[in-house]
Formats: sequence, structure tokens, C-alpha cells
Amino acid sequence: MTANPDGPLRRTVAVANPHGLHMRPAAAFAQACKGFAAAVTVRHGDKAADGRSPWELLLLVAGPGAELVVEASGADAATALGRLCELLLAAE
Amino acid sequence: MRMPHFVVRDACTPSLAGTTREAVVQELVQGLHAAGALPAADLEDIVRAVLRREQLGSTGIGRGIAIPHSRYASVSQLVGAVGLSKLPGKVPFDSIDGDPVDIFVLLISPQDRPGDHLRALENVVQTMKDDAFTEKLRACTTAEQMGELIFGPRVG
Repeated sequence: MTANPDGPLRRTVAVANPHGLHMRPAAAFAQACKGFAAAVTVRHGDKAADGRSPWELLLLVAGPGAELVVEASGADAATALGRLCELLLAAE
Repeated sequence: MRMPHFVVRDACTPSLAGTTREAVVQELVQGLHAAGALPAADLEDIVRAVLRREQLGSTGIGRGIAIPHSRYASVSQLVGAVGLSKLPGKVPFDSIDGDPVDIFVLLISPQDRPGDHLRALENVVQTMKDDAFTEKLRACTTAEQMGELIFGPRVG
């Protein structure tokens, strides 16, 4: 996890789901984001998605093993980042 | 993987009769069979697989749109069907925004091509984000109009 006093907390994780970030994990990720106050952005290459939007997450086209950069900023950013990365690192 | 690459033109239905998720999925799968894209012997299994997937979480992604889907071992390439509901109350689908659905894109993918499935989902989402497109799609009253909108004019 990268701590930057001027910017969001950031962590790079590889998508562990064997089918990639398909609709179900994308929906679960977006739903989890809504439980946090932090703003969450997910980046895949030059594409970026609002973590709360399943539509935008699907547009990342993140296949199995794709490296995603998760950024969180706000009061509970550290907790959010930990939980959200756990979701991406889960194989189911 | 753009919609014209996987949607079966003859499996576009402008006015689905179904009033439930189960009935609509059945009609869409049947439409793919009628268009020659799925063998009769597999239809019941495919409907069951799609509905099982729905039980894990609705594929109603909001704004009146659902993308019911499943992987199925015996299909050799990704195939899709598009259906519209013209019922006044649309179809209850337990969508993420709670709204009923009137645009359905069914996807049946081979088991071993996660990349194709993701690119197809991306293209459907990208296409359906365009309000001008969904407005035109909702206005279609014939399969021919839907085909022209998605594929362009039929050649030959």
C-alpha cells in the first residue's frame, strides 16, 4: 500500500478470479464500495472506473491475472482498500 | 468482440411475451435455437444454467437493462440474443437499481474463453451506456429494425 499525504492510498493487485472481473465480482466490488465513505477508483492500464459503478468496472475488461490499481481516498480509505483488494484476490 | 460479432441477427425479438425472469430467459434461449444457434437437446439445460446464475445475483444492471448469461460446455462460440419487452410494467428482474427491465441481452459463452465473455460484456455495457442507442432500440417494433440498428442494413 502506498501512503501519499497528498493523494489517495493505492495498491496494485492481480485479479484472482479465473474468469476475470466479470459481472458478479464487479457487482460485489461495487456493492462493497458503497459500504465505505472513501472514494474508490480502479485503474487497468489507461482505463479508470469509479469503484461504485458495476458498469464502469465491466468496461475495464480485466481478465484473470490482470493487474489493477485500486485507489481510495477519504476517512476510511485504508480499511476500504484492504477489504476491496481482498475481494479482487479471492478466487471466487 | 462487438455486438454484431456475437448477437445472432435472427434471434432479435422486439416484443417478448414473458412477464417473469424465467419466461423471458426461456424465450431468449428459444430464439437462439430457432435461429439455429443452439441445439434443441441442450435448451432445458441452458435455461436452467442461466436461471441458476440469476440466483447468485441478478444480471439486471440498471437503467432497464439486463444481461442474463451463462457458460455452457457444448457451445463452441459465444452467441447472444437481444429481446425487448413492450409490457407496460416491463419485467421485474431484481435489478441493482430496483427498476424493471425492458432490454435483455442474453449471452451464452463457451466454458474456456473468459476473455471473449469479458469483451462481450464490455461491448454490451458500452453500447447500452449510449442513451441515443437505447432510445432507438426501445422504439424498434420489428426484428428487422432491431437488426438494422445493431448490424446495419442486411446485405444480399
